[in-house]
Amino acid sequence: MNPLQPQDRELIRLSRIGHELSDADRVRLKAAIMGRIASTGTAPRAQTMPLAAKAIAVVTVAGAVASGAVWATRAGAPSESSASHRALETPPALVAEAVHTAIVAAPPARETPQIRGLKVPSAGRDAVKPASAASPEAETPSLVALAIRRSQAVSSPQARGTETTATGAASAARGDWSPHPGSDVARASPVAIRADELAREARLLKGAFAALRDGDASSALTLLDQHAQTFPGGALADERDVERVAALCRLGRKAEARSVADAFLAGRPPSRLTERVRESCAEVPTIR
Amino acid sequence: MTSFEEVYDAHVEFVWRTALRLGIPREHVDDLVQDVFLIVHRHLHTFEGRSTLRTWLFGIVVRVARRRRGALGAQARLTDVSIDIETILDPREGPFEAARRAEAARAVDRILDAVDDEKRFVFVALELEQMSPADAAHALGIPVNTVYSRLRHARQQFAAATARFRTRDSWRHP
Repeated sequence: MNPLQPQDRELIRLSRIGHELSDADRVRLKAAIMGRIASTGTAPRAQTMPLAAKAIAVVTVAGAVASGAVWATRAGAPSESSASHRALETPPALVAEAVHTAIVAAPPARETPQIRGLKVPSAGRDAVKPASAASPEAETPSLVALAIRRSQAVSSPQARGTETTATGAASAARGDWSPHPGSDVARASPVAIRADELAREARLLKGAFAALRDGDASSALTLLDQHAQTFPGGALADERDVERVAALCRLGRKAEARSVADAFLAGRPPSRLTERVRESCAEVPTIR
Repeated sequence: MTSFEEVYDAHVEFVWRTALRLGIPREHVDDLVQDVFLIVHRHLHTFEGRSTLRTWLFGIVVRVARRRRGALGAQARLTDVSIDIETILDPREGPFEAARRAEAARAVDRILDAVDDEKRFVFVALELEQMSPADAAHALGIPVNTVYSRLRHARQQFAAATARFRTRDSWRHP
């Protein structure tokens, strides 16, 4: 009855959990979406960075952590490299540079909403490039062109109406997706953080990545301590902890690495960051 | 009430992989995921919980994907890719399970290019996402009986396509 062969079924079974979206891509996409949402409405902010810009900064740092951690933990075992890991071996320097670019290129808040909408993704594209090079699947289209096209489409009431009609038609009958062309005034995210603080956070972490890359794990730890003191609950606290595990491993301080890893992993759902920690010398057994 | 960000965080991977599985070329997937979540942002308040959020999202992804595939035309179909099913299924060949799974996922996406679009949607919902036939019917806006018949045809086309790939492989690996 079922024409699928056992081999077909096995292939299907394997493929069910085969598509993994990296944390970097997850955040990068969120930045682009928030940028587009913001570009449809007015959300004046002074001295603050939109969530989208924060996301861009975080994605580059997350990418840097991924590469840095892999670089640090794989350095001792080069023969272990595989297709999946090779992809992550972006030189940390490139990625650290991206952190800087992201912060510098973060859009100033004084521009008009539409311009800001355009600029957020474009800054993201340039800044994120090295980080997304870490993903073998990161063949992104030009987000710049995309943003321009989007911003035109989304901000034009006519285009918006068309889209709503086309996409809403099938479900409108069921009433669970009723089109309300006028109701989509952007509900800009209330999450906004100070741009200069994020820049300082990123600078500290960037220094730590660079130090670890240069084999100076103690300096890296000093910078991470500094970050922990200044920004205990900072936007990049998770990235800091993962980097600390890598630095401690590098110094051969396994027990400490393990205790940081334990604290980091406790009650946390699996993600790229937890994966990095599990791949480190801390070798924490799965808690879940 | 679920916030937009909660929906994004919980479901972005689902939306992204569904786009891939429905045959959206990789270079267009980002764009499609963004389109989907803009729609979600706009219409989340109209979601009435008569289906699960995932079912609702699947319906949106299918509609956006259908339009985009139509716009892309023949470009959306990759021709003559090489898929070595035997290697994917042989655990000794791959050093890491995760790499093997990723390979399998990519292979299935390409095999599905040989399946007609509307049947493919059903196959993805039931075989890959393991949705119930009732949920798939709801998401696709078709009767449950149609879901079953499309699934049957989709499986036949899928099996025929893997058989073709295996034959090609056997030329390379006698």
